[in-house]
Amino acid sequence: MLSEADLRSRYKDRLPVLEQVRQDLAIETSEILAEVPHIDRISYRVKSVDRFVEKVRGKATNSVYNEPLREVEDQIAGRVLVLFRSDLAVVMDAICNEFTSVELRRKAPRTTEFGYESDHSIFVIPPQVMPSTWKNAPSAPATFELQVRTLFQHAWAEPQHDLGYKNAKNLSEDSERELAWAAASAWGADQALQRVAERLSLEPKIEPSSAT
Amino acid sequence: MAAACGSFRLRMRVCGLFSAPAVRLTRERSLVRPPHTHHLSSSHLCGFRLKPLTGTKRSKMFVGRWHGNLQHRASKLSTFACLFQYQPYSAEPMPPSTAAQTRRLYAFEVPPQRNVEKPLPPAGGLVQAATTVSVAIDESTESISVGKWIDADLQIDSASQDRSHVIRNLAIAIAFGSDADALSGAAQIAAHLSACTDARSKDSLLMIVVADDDKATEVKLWTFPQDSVFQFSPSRRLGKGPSVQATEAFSRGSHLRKAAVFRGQNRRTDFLSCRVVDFQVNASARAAADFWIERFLDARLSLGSALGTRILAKVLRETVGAAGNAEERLELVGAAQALRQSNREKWSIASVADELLREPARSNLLAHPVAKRNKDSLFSLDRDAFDKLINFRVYQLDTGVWVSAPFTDEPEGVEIEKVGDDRRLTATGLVVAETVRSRHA
Repeated sequence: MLSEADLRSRYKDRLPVLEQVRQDLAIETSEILAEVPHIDRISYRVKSVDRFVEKVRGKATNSVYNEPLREVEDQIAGRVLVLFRSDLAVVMDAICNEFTSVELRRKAPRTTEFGYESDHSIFVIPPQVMPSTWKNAPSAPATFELQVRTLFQHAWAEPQHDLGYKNAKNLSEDSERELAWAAASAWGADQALQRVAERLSLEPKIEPSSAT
Repeated sequence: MAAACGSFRLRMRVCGLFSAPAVRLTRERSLVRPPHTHHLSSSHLCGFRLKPLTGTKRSKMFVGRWHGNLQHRASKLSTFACLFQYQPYSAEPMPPSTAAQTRRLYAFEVPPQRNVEKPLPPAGGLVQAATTVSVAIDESTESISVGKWIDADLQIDSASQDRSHVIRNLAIAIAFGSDADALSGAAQIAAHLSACTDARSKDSLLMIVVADDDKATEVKLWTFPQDSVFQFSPSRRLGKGPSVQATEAFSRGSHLRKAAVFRGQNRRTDFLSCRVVDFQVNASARAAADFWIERFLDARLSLGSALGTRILAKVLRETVGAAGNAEERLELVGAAQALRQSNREKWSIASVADELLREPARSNLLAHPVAKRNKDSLFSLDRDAFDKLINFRVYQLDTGVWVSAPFTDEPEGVEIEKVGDDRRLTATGLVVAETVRSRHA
């Protein structure tokens, strides 16, 4: 097991290459989704050195990672935000047609609760974006993470991550309840938008000229 | 299945025959069916002139054999003429430290049993004296040029917790499992290959090599097809004259040989992809084209069809835009036309450059920054998408003239004006080339 200093140093050395792969994946994801409607934004990020070390060290006691430089799969992670819930599957299908998925998980709370919702997936880094120095290198990452969410799922998840996820032990009952209420509101807003979109798609289109 | 496999003893030889280099697998005891070997005595060869020639590798093998010092001569000759004799279960010292050391080697004779109701388990098992055969396999691996290797991703069950996949699970068991698990895994891969192989095919030799270096473990799956060959034996010392056997052997040089190489360690991020050799990937028969990657490996090309098509179109468009002269532009346009009309499904940027372009268009296409990164990645060309992306417009005029204008919405020098309900096209420009064709572009 690498010492924290070694881990930090080796990951830091890797950042420029990760950055290049991040840019290439972002371009390719945009290409894949070029004709898919209702995409709000596509973004990719490289995990920061601190977050990487925190993730590895936080779980090291359970020996989750023998070779963290290889096994941490969100060193590069992307996110696609869509307008409607029905777009989630469309986007994921389009991406799965082009990138090879090895893991697909829909994160959702139990049916009697409201909380974090998102489609998480792990894909193989395609060879055309893989730097030549990484090919056949056993410690280079082979996979990346991609999340697909609606705007409202994201609107809840981001502040909740800052407020709740990091301070889970310090949250009062009232704070927990309020976060759950916000999650329920976000869920309700998604459902409402979806219903309106479905109704409009069924109704005959009204040309602006005939409406006046 | 493991018990059945364990009951076989294998003698393996890498031998020079009258065809391409071949690996011959002989069962000491056949539980499935007798070996397909026919012997011809020297009397059957009356009228044949077996004249030793000089100057070729093949003739050197003849000469070596005429002089009766076969193994000594063979060791000095090329791979073509080399001969390795294996004794069953004789321990052979591992070679001195090299990049990768063979740890396990399995061989199975795989009959085609697709859609067979009660398939027989393929005969074979662990090859004890593996070193020399693995050298021959390394030669087979190294003989494939870099551009011929195909990147493929296994179609993992993404809903499974452990990234389950039939070949991945077995390859990991063969590489990292106990001896019993590894043997069982190898036998299951052989059975799977047998179940995927169409009855029109001949038997094949499946060889599974596990080799370690200081960083990772490699699992190589090689399959060599059976071929009809002659084996010649001078037998002069017995005073009987030469004999020839018409026999079956597994050919190392066959165009039908295939490989898949996995590399990694026993962890969830590894053995998800492999490098593949499959010269039939563009075969016109779908069954042959899909056999190795899709049916046997349950994998797919790493570069998806839509993305690969977009990348190729982008590279072609931008290379045309940067072309130094009209001739080069025409060459690139011609390549785009050829792609649209070709029946071939799978392409890479390198194959487009090498097969459809001459210099300097070829080098300029490969020098495109996107092409540099992607040039060897094979993908299935989506012709409809390609047409849209390169924006290839073809106009047919009432005069019988065709005007084709690729890569642009508003082709330079082409004007289209509306005349009543019709459109009138006027094209002006310098003629830089003229060809006679039976059909328009």
